[in-house]
Amino acid sequence: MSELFGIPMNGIMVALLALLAVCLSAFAAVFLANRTMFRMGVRNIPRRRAQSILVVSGLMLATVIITAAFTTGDVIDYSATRATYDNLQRTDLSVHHFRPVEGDVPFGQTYAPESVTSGLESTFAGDPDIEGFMPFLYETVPVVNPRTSLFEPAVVMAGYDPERLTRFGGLRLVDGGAADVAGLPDDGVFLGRRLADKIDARVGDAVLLFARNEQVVLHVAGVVEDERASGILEFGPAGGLPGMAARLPVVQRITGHQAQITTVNVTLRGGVRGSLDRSDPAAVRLIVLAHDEAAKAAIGLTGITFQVETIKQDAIEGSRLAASLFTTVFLVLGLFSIAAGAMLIFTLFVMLAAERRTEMGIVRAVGGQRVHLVQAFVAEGAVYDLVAGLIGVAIGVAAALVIVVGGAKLLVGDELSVITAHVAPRSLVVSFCLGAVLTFLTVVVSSLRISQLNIVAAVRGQASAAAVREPKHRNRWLWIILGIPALILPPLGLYWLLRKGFGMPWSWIVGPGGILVGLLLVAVGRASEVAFPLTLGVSILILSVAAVAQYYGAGRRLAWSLAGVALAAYWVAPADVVTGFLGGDYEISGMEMFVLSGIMIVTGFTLFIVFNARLLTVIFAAQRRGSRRYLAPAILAVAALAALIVGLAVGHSASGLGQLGYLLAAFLAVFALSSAAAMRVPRFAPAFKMGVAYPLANRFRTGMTIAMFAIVVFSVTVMSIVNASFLDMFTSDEGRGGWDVIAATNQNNPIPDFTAALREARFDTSVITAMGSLTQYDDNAQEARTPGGSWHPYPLIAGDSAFFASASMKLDGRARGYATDRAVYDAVAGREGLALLDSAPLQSGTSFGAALLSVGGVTINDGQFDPFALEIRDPVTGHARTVTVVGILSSRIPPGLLAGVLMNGDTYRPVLGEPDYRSVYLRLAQGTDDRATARAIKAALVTRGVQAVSIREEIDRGVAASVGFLRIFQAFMALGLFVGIAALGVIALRSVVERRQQIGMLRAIGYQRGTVALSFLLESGFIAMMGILAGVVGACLLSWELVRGDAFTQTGMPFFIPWFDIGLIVALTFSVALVMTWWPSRRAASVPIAAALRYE
Amino acid sequence: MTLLEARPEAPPIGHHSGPIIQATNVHKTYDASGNAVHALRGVSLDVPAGEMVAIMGPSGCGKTTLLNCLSGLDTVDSGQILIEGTAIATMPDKAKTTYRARRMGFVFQTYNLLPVLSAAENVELPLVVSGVDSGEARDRALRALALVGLADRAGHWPAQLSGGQRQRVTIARALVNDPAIVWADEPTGNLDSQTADEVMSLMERLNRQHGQTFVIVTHDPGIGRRCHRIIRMRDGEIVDEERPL
Repeated sequence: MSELFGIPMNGIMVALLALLAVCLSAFAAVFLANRTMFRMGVRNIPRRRAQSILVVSGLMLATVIITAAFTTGDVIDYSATRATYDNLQRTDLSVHHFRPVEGDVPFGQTYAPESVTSGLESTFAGDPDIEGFMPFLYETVPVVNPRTSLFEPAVVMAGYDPERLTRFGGLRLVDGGAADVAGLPDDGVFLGRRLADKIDARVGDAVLLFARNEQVVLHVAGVVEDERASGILEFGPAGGLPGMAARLPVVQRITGHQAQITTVNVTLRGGVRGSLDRSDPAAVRLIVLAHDEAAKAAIGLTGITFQVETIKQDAIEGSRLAASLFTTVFLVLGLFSIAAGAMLIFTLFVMLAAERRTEMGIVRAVGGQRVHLVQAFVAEGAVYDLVAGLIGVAIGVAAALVIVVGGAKLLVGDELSVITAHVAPRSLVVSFCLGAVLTFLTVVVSSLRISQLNIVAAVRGQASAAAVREPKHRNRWLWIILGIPALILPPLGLYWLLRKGFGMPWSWIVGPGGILVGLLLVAVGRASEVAFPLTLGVSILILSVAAVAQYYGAGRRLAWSLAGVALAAYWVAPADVVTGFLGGDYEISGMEMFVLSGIMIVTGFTLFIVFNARLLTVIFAAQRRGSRRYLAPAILAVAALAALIVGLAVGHSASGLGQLGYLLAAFLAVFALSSAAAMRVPRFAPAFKMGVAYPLANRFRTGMTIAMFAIVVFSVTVMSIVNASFLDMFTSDEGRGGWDVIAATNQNNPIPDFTAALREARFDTSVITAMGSLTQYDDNAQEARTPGGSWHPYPLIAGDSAFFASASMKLDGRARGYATDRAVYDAVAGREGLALLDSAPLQSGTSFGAALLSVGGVTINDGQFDPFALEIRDPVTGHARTVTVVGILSSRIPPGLLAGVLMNGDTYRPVLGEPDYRSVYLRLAQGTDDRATARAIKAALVTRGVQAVSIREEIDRGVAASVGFLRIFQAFMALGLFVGIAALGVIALRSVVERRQQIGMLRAIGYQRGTVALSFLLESGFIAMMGILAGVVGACLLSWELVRGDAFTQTGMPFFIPWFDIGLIVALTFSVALVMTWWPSRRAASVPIAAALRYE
Repeated sequence: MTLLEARPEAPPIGHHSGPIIQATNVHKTYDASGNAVHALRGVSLDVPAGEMVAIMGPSGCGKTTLLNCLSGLDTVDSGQILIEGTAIATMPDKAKTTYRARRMGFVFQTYNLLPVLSAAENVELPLVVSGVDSGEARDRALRALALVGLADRAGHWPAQLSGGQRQRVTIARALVNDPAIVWADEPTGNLDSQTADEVMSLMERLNRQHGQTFVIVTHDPGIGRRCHRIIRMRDGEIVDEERPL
């Protein structure tokens, strides 16, 4: 991978190495400046080995996630690049789409005279970049292997020029060595590896192929690697047609294209991998030729134009872009886990400090400054950091290979067989440095916080009393003067200026300072109309106001609970509330907004929970006798029932609001059952009391842990909901658009009457109730744009009258004036200049960095919109026209099935020539097996090269691949759950040590072992459950809001909660969290009472 | 039901007529880093019900170990301990714990209050683990706090109480389950003399009014003098007994 966020990886590596050097210098400075503090810190590492292992495990998580993201990029980059070079070999550019500028030659039938090759060779003799030209005739034909009775309806047969192909590398036999391309007899053929596998052919087999409805016998002379020269025109994850190769005159004779070719592959100087830099200059010279009529006439291309594609360069750039995008997406998704990891590091160091409170107090008591404590912790933390970084890199690589390489093959299937494990050393260096620097910074911040302690309380081993209100100190002018230029590094400058210079108490800095920062961000957001700073500013304002309110005497619980509610409400509010109340038109989608919304919703929920969860003891811990005993569970059960009834009543209206009712009912039911269980099991009540009381006594630590769980569960749940909603959208019957089977006919075996051909092949056509045909498209040579906008490659499709007459695809929108969908179809079929458009352009966006066709400003209200104009053209010939879009196809139709500008033949003809209707859409009688019918059609018309597929099967296959990818993302995000689980383990383990004496007392006054263990388990369970609850509820609310937002409403995407997925996420997370604390709980239960009571 | 009224589910051993505590030839050895430390060397003693006994002696003589062994918090190597006529050492852990919850109260030098619970919540803990109804548990906890003069501090957190107040909360917790025996390990060790005097007066009053047995480990001769009997220990053995009252 060479770039990330558009920045060269080498630059990133150098910058990170410099930052790491700064961190290591700090470590060295501690060693040199204060050897005692250095030793005090470092010697703590071997004191408690198990704890040190836990700390290292916690610290390495950020590095694991970062490394996994980079390794993913490396794997994709390497695999895609290798596949490109393997396929293209010495082909760098492709000259194709030879089209007469005038005349009605059907689009797709693009031939040039064979002599054009020698003309090009003469024209570009001595060219500094172009080494040679290879003419090819690529034709698609059906192939049958009579020996095995296996057939393949569409195979690309490459007709090659032996002399030129040999000069530029020839063909490679799969068994090794070069194929004898020059010595291939006229009845011989080389099969590509994939084709040989599909029809189980071997050398010597006689294979049948069919062209112009005649049978030809060829003998397999060898099996060669799949590459462009052996007929593989499409490669990569989506695959393409299999290929085979024969001598050019043979292919010309079989297909009736004597002395014609379809493509000239251009070879540049520099070899297979060294020619990329020459692509652009060479392509420019060829494009100049395409526009020079005199020069074209000289090489036999009078009146013919053509397209030049830098195919190798495009593919390699695409690989790199895909790698960079994957790394970026994984890094951004990993931000949730990295944030949780930073919280874990913070928690770990706060715990370490709690354990060493007495030692720290003694250091301070004998004259040690705060900086000395910081030095000790930094020294210790740096050692943990470096060790954790190294282990993290190793585990990150392993995790990426397991998740990406293994997961891709397992979940997505053979289509990703090109994925190969590969790790670049540079990525490892970047990952290690980034992880180590982030961890080091967190360690320093943690050390600064924990160095603040009350000396007397610390010496006694007690927690410091609540902080008293800190007064403002006097101004120190030196710091003020130093602070102003230091503002170039805002955190440092602000710290020197406000804290050291003006002596401001922290509450002033985080309160009024936060308000200022918040206002500033809001202003920046408004000025730039970017939602990120605006919404971040509003969030900071909410939190800062709470801080100020608390400072000036408002109740802590009240201030922070209200802040929590306000923050969560703001972020789950409709988009027009989030940004609209400040005016302006903001773009609120995007990965950064997803991350920010997750963090803010989780923060809001966490604040509310830690300040109010004590109320739960009323539900669980109240033990009353008699009829009042079950009052709490009964109330909860009634509430659950009410939520369920409301959910059922609302149903799918309000974008699936009913689903949220079910969610609420589910949680209330769980609470009701737990509460009833608590009333039945006497020991549950005291255990729960402890289990809630202790976490809530340390709100910071508990809040951090809840947030860690919540943030990861939030991200995984949102992904699950989006996944399920897409699945629900595409797998519905509407997704098939009323059709069952698509049959693609073969250009070399034209079928004028498809029904007649089927009857002739003794196929029972009574199962077919409707039929219509579309042209096939090539979006590399078809373009569309809004008037005055930029051209974008876009499929342009013509339908025959039968297609429109039988069309029953539901439309997402109709132009005003059309009462029904049928009226729209009739109009498009009958009137020139009208068109249908798929729904994708109504959402702006990009794909792999490329801008897509977008028609902004079109709003569908109640299924109606104002008709709008769209321009379409053939970029090769330059023929263009304007069409009026009067219908938007259902967004439930997957893009792979039908996407593009759909029009009648008369509208299509002036731009792309005579329509060649080769995709036949079939509707079957109810109850007919679509898969079996597709197979039967394929078999019946094997000699005509018809490829028939069941639409349902194709959708299922596409959905399975998409779900596979989303599962990989989910698995990656779920790595962050280890952070939360590790944190719970650390906290539980430390709690047993910290509370040993209290455990002794509890046992002394009558707590059973089981009750003590249960209270520890419940403590962890409470934290985990609150985190899970916050994450799931936040995710569902945000997803619901997203789905009912404008962007998704127009796509018709439903809100759908995947109950099984979410149940699994909750159950797994909760169970693993409990398992993690089981051992500390057992330890707590087995504490010897007398020894514990003596413990200090 | 009054604070100190016996509850119906209390074990029948409460009706024992002999000494409430009987220890015979009790031995206890600790392993301290490979060295055997003989904490108790054949200790025998009887404590009649309603007696207030002080165990005194220099540091490391085995006072706390004896208290822990008598109360069932720790095991013994040999010898027999009968509480209300029952050999507590042979009880299964669960039964022993239940017995402690219902028939014993504990007062510790360091209070051992749970910092995350209010005074009332701390006091009601033994009742909660015994399965007493929450409303009743709270009533009895408040009465226990009133008994020790802290009715107005029921909602305070331990950190908001003085040392003497904390110890009184501990005493309230020890008494709330109407125990037969209250074990107190240096109950005044962390208190100033005036507060220590108040706490001791409280325990004397409770012993006098409710007839509960008190076993108090202390260094303070003043505390010892206010008990019915002083048992003096040295090197794990009882070396002297004195009846100051």
